[in-house]
Amino acid sequence: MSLLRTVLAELVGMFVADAAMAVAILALVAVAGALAAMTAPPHIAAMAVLTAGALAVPVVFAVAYAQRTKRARRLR
Amino acid sequence: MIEWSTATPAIGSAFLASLVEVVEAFTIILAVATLRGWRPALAGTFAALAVLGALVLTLGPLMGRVPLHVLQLVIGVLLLLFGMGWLRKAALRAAGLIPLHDEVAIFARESAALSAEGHTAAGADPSATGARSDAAARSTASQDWIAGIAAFKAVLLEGLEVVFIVIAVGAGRGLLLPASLGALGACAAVLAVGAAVRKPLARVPENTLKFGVGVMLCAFGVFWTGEGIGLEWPGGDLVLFLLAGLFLAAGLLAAGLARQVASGAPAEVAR
Repeated sequence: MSLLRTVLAELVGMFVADAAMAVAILALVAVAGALAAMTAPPHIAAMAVLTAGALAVPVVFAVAYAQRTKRARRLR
Repeated sequence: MIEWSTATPAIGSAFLASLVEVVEAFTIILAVATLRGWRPALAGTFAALAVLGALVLTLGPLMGRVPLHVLQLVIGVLLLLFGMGWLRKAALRAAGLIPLHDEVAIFARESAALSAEGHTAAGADPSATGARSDAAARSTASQDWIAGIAAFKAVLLEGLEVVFIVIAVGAGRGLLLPASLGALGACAAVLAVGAAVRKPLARVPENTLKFGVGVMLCAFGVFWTGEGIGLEWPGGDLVLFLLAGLFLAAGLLAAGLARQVASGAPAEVAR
């Protein structure tokens, strides 16, 4: 049972390293999907939102982590 | 007919990602083998490989029944979740905010944990002389079992990531076989080097590899997600190279900005 729990935790952790980042990615895909459904091909807006959003996510969340680290350091 | 513009990144990503995961699993297997011998280490390893093989054989045919757009969307989103996690962590490691993966330290930690568990297993020392040899045999078997389970767990957990990456980069374009060959190539490379040096492969530039793989997984993730929601990428598969270049720039920017924001902050344990 403990092994199964470890495996399941590992599986979840594989995809949800940071819960807020996972939510942001899912929201981004939902917005891009909605744009693709609402517009005619070649879906330039959906393509731009998906690409730009996906490029922004790692930058925003790395900076957010750095800010949290800095705040934690100040509090120590 | 294989499209090399998609196959090359797929094989490369599967090879590099598997290299990272196999190096991590090898460290644990080596710790088990050093402390308890190769028998429990190999037993645990092969048992885990059998479970992973069964998983692939079960999932493989099921994927053929899923409509391509749905498969691309699901795999694309999972790749984005997985790849961005790797890219963010690699950027934070490059920025010095979380410590680098240290195979030597992991080897030492795993060895100490196995020794401690071995002593616990051997703790029930019988006072009766006649029972002593039986108890010693049971204790050895118990320690071997614990060591085998450690190897099993390591190979299973790291192997799950390899299986996911192979499926994710290979399934969308019928490239499961080339991606699997990439992963097997990585296993062979690590085992060959590991068998030669017989110590943790600490000199593998793991974070650089993770950075590169994170970049490729994100590029595949955006590509498959886009195809899944009905986008037609200009340039077709070749856009993967452009996406990879953009994610590389984004990862470097993330590392640079994170370093700047937290300049002077000490490293803390990775989560």
